[in-house]
Amino acid sequence: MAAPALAPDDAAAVHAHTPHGNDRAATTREWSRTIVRLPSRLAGGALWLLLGVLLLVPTLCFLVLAVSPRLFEQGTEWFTLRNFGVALQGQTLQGLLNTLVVGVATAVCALVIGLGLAWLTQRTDFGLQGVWTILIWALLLMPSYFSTLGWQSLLVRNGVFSQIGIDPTELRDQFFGPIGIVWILTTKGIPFAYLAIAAGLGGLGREFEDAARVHGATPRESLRIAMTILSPALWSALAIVFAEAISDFGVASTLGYGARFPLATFTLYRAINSIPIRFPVASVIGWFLVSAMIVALLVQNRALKGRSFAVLSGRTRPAMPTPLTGRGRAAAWAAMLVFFGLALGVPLFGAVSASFLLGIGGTITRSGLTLDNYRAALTSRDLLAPMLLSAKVAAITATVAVVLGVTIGRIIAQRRAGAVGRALDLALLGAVALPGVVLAAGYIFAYNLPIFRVIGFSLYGTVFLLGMAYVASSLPATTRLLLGPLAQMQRSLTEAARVHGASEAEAVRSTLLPLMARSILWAWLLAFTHITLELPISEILNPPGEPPLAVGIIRHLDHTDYTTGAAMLAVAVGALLVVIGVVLGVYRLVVPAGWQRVRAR
Amino acid sequence: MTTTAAIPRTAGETDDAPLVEFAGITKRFGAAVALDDVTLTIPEGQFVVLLGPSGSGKTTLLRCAAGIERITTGRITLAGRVVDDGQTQVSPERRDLAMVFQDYALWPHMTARENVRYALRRRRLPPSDADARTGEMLGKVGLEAFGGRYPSELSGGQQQRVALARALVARPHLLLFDEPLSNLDSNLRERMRIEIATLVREVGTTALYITHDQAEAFALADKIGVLENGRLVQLGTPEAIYGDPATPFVARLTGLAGELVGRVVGATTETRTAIAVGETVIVARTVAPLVPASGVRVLVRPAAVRFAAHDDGAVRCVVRDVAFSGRGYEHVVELAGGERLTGVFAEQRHERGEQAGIDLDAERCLIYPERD
Repeated sequence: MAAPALAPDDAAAVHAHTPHGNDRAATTREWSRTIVRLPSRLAGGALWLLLGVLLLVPTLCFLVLAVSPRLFEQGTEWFTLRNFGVALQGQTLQGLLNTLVVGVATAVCALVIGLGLAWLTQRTDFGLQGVWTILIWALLLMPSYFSTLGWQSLLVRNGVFSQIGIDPTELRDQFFGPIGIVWILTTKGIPFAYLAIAAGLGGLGREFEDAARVHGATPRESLRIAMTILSPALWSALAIVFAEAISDFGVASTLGYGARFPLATFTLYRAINSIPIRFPVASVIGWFLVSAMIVALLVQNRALKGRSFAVLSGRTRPAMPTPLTGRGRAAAWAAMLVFFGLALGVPLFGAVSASFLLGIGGTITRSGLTLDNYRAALTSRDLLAPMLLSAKVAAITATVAVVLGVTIGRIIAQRRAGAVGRALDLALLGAVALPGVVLAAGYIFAYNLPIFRVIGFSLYGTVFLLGMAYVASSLPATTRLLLGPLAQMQRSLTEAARVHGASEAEAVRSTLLPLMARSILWAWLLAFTHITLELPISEILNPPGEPPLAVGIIRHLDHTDYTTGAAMLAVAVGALLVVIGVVLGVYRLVVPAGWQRVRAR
Repeated sequence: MTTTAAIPRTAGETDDAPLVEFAGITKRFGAAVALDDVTLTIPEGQFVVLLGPSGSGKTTLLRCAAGIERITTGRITLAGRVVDDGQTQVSPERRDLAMVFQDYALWPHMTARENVRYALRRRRLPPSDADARTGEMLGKVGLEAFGGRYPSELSGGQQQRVALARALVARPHLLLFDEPLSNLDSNLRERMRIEIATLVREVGTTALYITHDQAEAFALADKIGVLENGRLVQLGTPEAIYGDPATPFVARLTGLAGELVGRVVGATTETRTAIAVGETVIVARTVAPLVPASGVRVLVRPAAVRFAAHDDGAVRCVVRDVAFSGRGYEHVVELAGGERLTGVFAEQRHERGEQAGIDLDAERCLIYPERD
């Protein structure tokens, strides 16, 4: 019960009679304030507990396993570094080194191409910005194993190219190895680089370059100034693409495995999914992946010291687009067509055409077109039921991730959130780069601990645990996606609602929700799409007898039933596109006109 | 407890029934003290302006009144009801007040009419009455024809009017203004200032307005409170604040031509003292007790300085700068000791470098001991 409140006058009266009266009044006041603020503190505590359950505890459990296997009944030692020695040799070491090389190469390639795309769309009058944005989003939504499938379908012996009379031998020899892996990961990384750089370029204005030019700089020198100011965006792009590349599982488990080019995420998966099971080795690989990402973030931080996006201000005027000359425009068109053709068109053509072929691969005896693959796909136990399960789980988990994302985003966006906000920001920034395989492996340990068996609480092997891992994997990116629009929203808009008679819930409903609706919708769609086709967590936490969609498809792609797998993937992607279209259509029809006017800047 | 005694109260103050009372308000953000023991009473129907530089705590006090910030200690009473005593707080929507925000805070997804009508929700009026009141208010601010437009389709001045209409439409007990004119150009600012003054007085509501602009404060206020580093240092009518500034800070905030450093040389009377400024002796008004021969600072109001028609008794100076101001010329003059006085008005232009003489009106030259 709250202590009785003392009015200042009462407090003064107490002070007049007792030497310690003032202290007592202050203590009473402190207690009252603590009790009044208890609900908000409890809410804050619940949020941290949730983050702990979803992200921190599983990851830490998995990492601790490498140095203390006995804690998880995986060995006899309470503390040892022996597992690092065991892991850092042979194929595992090769996988780690390959991963580093691929990560750096991918980051550099995606940065160069992403910068080019961003410059072309943000700084020139090239036009069709809406089309390029849709294509970039399509790249973002396409799982890496879809691209791999497309390229493989074209290039394999007796693949699509062979069947239409093109000899792909030379290209295949080049592509099935580090070059192909880096290319596919680059196409996956470009959207991240593009979005980071385009946002930076949008706020840059042209004044800095104009100032350099009028003070005697050549065009090249003024460009260098712009690049220096843009460096926070460039470093962010490098760091995030590197993190995405080294944590990718789709390419590692398909092209990397097929080309005998081991990558860390797949060696981790093999360590926990093949006999003998080597959990401590998997944990060491987890250490490597997490450390590599921390190093990338530290390098980014060091490169940026003291610099920031402070160039963004209310006075910054948007840059006037540079008119392209006839030749420049032709070159830009050619570059765009080649890039999107190779990044989207070719894999799409490969995957879709494979789904219409009678057979594909080295040993086929028949060639020609057929719809049998689609018949097989639609009657397969690995498509419809898994697709429904994945869609259902994705819809629920994406909604949970978005609700949590908005809540956490609001806390971080409030400037006075202080240490709590900063800690949340840091935790989520790190978690964005956390590989799905590490998270999923962590779930095996955290939720299969002996204590859970003792108390009869077993989540391991359930769809619920799979859903928790999906929430954990999509929460960091969802929060970061929502953070931008939330931070841009003026606090005075909700304050104005409160002052003019709205309760807190009503203020959120009538101001925050309409203003954030579009961003929330896109965040939900991104999370939904990501979860529906998610591979590494689905593979590792796949509940017995209830395979998620990606697991069902990969089973076919892995087991010679390649064309049916391609048809299944085509059906799944088609269904996803229909869902996206329907959701966007319903949004357009249902929400009031005023909501649709609000565009995230 | 008589905390108010510490705040200089000047002529013109009344003890009408208070609508708002801030009693010993302290607000801390971590170690920083934003408001330090502020006590202020606003009678019903009065227009009070809080004047202070950036960081003086005026926005914090306004936000505490609105319920957007919680006070650390003290008590805020609104219409006889304690709304915040540092422990329990009445939420903003239950305080029956309205506010015009510095950035207007118009909801971009609502039309001008919807923005204004929103504030009538708490009145629970029948829809037809709410529509009529909204239309009437939009008419009053001259935006009847713009009700269907979204904020992004309105000019800055029109957005400001929508914000004003939203604040006035529900006829709240208390109207809060958070530097509402600071985003407007000077012409529009003047027009909107007149509109605010007219509409608020027409509605007869109590208003608390904050600004750092002394001209705006003088033009709008029945009463001005001056804030310095979170403390209320003076409260009074505009005339009293300008004529009898309690401290050099208040005098500086409300407009000076310059400051002269000198020494008391003549006999000190209750109202006048002779001060030696370099070689020159001037007579100025005594506003604080002075010690003979002590160092003082003379704060000179712009209206105190005139170019002398004759050399007799004039203070010698050199014109350093001149600027045309439409109705005449504003000059910067430099005295023999190097002190400069700005904003010296004359209908005739005096050229740069010209030797001239100025007369100082003792009533508008205020002497403070040097320690202030």
